[in-house]
Amino acid sequence: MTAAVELARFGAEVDIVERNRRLGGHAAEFACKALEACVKCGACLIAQTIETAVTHPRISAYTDSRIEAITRRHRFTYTIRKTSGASMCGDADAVVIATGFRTFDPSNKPYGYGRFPNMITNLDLERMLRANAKAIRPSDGVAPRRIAFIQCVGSRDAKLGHLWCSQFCCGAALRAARLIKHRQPESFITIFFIDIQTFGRDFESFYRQSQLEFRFIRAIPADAFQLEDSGIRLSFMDDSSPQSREEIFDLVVLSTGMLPPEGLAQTADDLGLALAPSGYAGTQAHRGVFAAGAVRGPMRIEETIADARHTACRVLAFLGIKGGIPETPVAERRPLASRLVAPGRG
Amino acid sequence: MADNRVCILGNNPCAWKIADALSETGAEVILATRGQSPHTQRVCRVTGSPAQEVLCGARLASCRGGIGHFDLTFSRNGGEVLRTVSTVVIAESDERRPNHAHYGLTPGAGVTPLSGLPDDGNLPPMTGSPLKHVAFLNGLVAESHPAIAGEIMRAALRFQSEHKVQCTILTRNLKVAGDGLEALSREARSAGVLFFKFTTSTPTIRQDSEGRVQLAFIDELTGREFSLAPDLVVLDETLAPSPYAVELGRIIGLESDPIGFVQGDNVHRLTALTNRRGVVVAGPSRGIGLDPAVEASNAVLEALGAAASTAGGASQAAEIEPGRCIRCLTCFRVCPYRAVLLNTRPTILPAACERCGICAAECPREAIRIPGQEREDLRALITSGRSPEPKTLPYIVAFCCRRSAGVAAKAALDTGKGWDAVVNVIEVPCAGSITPESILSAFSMGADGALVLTCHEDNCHSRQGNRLARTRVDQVSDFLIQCGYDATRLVFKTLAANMETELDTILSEFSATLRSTANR
Ligand SMILES: Cc1cc2nc3c(=O)[nH]c(=O)nc-3n(C[C@H](O)[C@H](O)[C@H](O)COP(=O)(O)OP(=O)(O)OC[C@H]3O[C@@H](n4cnc5c(N)ncnc54)[C@H](O)[C@@H]3O)c2cc1C
Ligand code: SF4
Ligand code: SF4
Ligand code: SF4
Ligand code: SF4
Repeated sequence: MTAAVELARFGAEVDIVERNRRLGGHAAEFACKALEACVKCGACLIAQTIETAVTHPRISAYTDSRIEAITRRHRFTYTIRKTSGASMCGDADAVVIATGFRTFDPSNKPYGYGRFPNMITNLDLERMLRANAKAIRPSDGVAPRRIAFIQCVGSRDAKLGHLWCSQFCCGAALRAARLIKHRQPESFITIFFIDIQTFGRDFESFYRQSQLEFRFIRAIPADAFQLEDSGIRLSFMDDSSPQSREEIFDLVVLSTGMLPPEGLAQTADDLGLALAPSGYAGTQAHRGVFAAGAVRGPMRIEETIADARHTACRVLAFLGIKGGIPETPVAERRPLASRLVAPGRG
Repeated sequence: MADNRVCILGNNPCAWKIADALSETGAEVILATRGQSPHTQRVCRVTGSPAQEVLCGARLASCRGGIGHFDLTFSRNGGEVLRTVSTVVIAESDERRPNHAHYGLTPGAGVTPLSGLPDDGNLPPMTGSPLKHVAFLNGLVAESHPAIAGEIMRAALRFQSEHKVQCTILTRNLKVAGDGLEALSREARSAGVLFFKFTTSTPTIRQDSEGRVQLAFIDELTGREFSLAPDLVVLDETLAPSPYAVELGRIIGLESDPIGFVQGDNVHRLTALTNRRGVVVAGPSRGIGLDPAVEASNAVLEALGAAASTAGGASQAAEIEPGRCIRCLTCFRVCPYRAVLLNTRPTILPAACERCGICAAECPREAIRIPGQEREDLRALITSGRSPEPKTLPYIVAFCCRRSAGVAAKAALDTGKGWDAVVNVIEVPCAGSITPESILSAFSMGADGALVLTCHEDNCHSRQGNRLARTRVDQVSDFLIQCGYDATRLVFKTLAANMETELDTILSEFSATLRSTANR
């Protein structure tokens, strides 16, 4: 979407084809993790980009839609199919694949995800915080006291052949954990990790604060069992003793990582784009076919925006568009102060 | 676009890429480098065209004006050089600081910082005994960074596999959040590089009088004791902005982040923006380990966007009425975007103004007007949202920053649930424009309660708009109390655009409070 906005800003006509009901991708679902101050997760930026994309005269956004068939002769021609069944044709000089990522499905890990109600993923947690403004135990809606985060689920995993760090999940976990601790000070939070990755410009102080607030254990639990009261017992080996230890938690959050999105291999094949050995789009581009964002490899919101602009630049060069065109930014076309009235219930 | 002249400050791959890409779009480019010699091989593309200029040994001394017309003064060879440009791009190199002090080591034959290793991947020349064992210290005191961890792992892998030198990496958190670094760490491990990770303990590091280093520690994983005497110890480094970049930030009037990079730690500056329109920042001036190609593209887009925005002409900018102004310079001090220029009297550069309204709210003479955002405009919005008489529900005026609470309000309204109150959401470009008078006028025009909703601290596009709004709300609350009114009728909160749930709670609670006080 950022690529679309940049391309449109420099005069290109853009079609956005989005599978979901709304634009914005994963980030549009995240909660704000600000404590007293913003912790710079970047999630709230998406709202403005969506507004710009939706209102831009040179952008047509098709939601609930997919590309059904795409062929290229000199240009690309394609059919956009709506979930409702309607379809329309389009044509373009260049195609940008920005289909992002899919989160790892931990159902096959020995954690009972999908069976234990209080075993959730980081994405479930984001949605929970967004909808409830606090953490709850899905089993009974009560605030959890003992909370565990398990990092690197489905990333940095040689057995699965996932030889990458997903890059976002350390930051996402620590920010979410600090928000929970801030809003629900009675919670006791444990982070199971391999290595904590750097994020943000004030990482040192953020991390130091986290170390005061949470317990960090350098180990990844091997098993999870559900107790009668829906609590979860984790067993893990930590460095303090050669035996495995066990502990009970009210809520366990799995920091699931990124995978290349569904259907990428097919899309790439159709368009003649070679993928990287990891299965992501990597740095390849191919005669008018470009990739932008997390579809190229794990990246965070900030890098995704930068990458999308970089791709837009490459597309502009490919299209032979040079220089900026005078245009008032969308935000400035709106009246300065404006009003919305909620009439009240009843 | 002949009037598009861009000055790029910097002399590194990122700066060169920006220069090349901008020249290709037809912009006139000046590459100003502090060093005497540009990297001749690289800048030839830039110097190739007569429309481009390389200023060597030029150090920025002052910067006046704003977007579309910056007057830059450089000191050079004892003299001064003046250039006028429409846009400034800062792409100065960063600086690597070897972490000797972290480890209590002094530079010497057995100790080298990471950048002291040969660029070509060969072993460093050693005096005396041949190199058999190299130890790398990574982030044992201060947290490391993927850019540094990547260099360390690449060097270790190369020494280990090509030169058959035993390599050991001692690290706290191994930073693999970068392209291909997890795979690299696996490759290094299988090539025989040893990794020791420290969580709770730290190795003891000793250096003898000849400079040789001894490392002693207990492996946390196995509990075994180790004592290493490597032939060479390679130290990690800290990446930081160069003092010149910091000085540029000061001269140009830019925000900086906690490390000192010349970009505020504010998500609204992503990716290449600064607090000044027409000043773009890229690569090693803005952060650690950023990809020069990606950074260059981002800078180029913003530089072109800046040119386009001046060409389009900004309407609705703030304006100073000369007759009322008493030259107190408050506006100059408070403008977060440095849009107020000091000529014979303060004037606002329209293209640089983000129309946040902060200056208008702070001016003691009410000398500043912003079309569309004047007293009468706000009054009209407040009255027109009022509920018809007889009133059954409390009337709430919610002043919302358009970037945050306004977005959340729309999302909350879209759920269709509504509140037990008539809520008039007034979106303003920045909460910094909300004056005590506007809040009081909400009450005088029939509001039972007023809310002021701004962005979170450190998330304000206008840096301090939210803080100013909070101060003014406090003032009005004090005033209400002094006049014997109920100060619970005025509430200040911070919100982000994605906090519609929290906004819903705030409004429900507020309308409940208002109803209960009305019934008392
Ligand atoms: C739980 C969680 C927390 C995170 N927290 C943070 C954080 O705090 N900070 C941070 O920087 N990053 C965070 N991230 C990472 C962040 O989500 C990504 O960096 C970002 O979303 C990548 O953006 P994208 O547009 O490339 O991909 P996506 O967000 O995945 O967007 C891709 C879009 O393409 C659509 N699509 C996919 N396939 C098709 C198709 N075939 N046809 C049409 N449309 C299709 C999808 O529906 C989606 O809308 C988090 C991620 C997760 C999972
Ligand atoms: S960047 Fe994240 S933490 Fe900061 S205000 Fe936005 S959503 Fe909240
Ligand atoms: S970011 Fe952290 S949790 Fe995510 S894969 Fe990397 S190390 Fe693991
Ligand atoms: S704040 Fe007002 S009175 Fe003071 S210099 Fe600015 S315009 Fe003039
Ligand atoms: S409205 Fe804001 S940006 Fe414009 S001059 Fe005033 S303080 Fe500066």
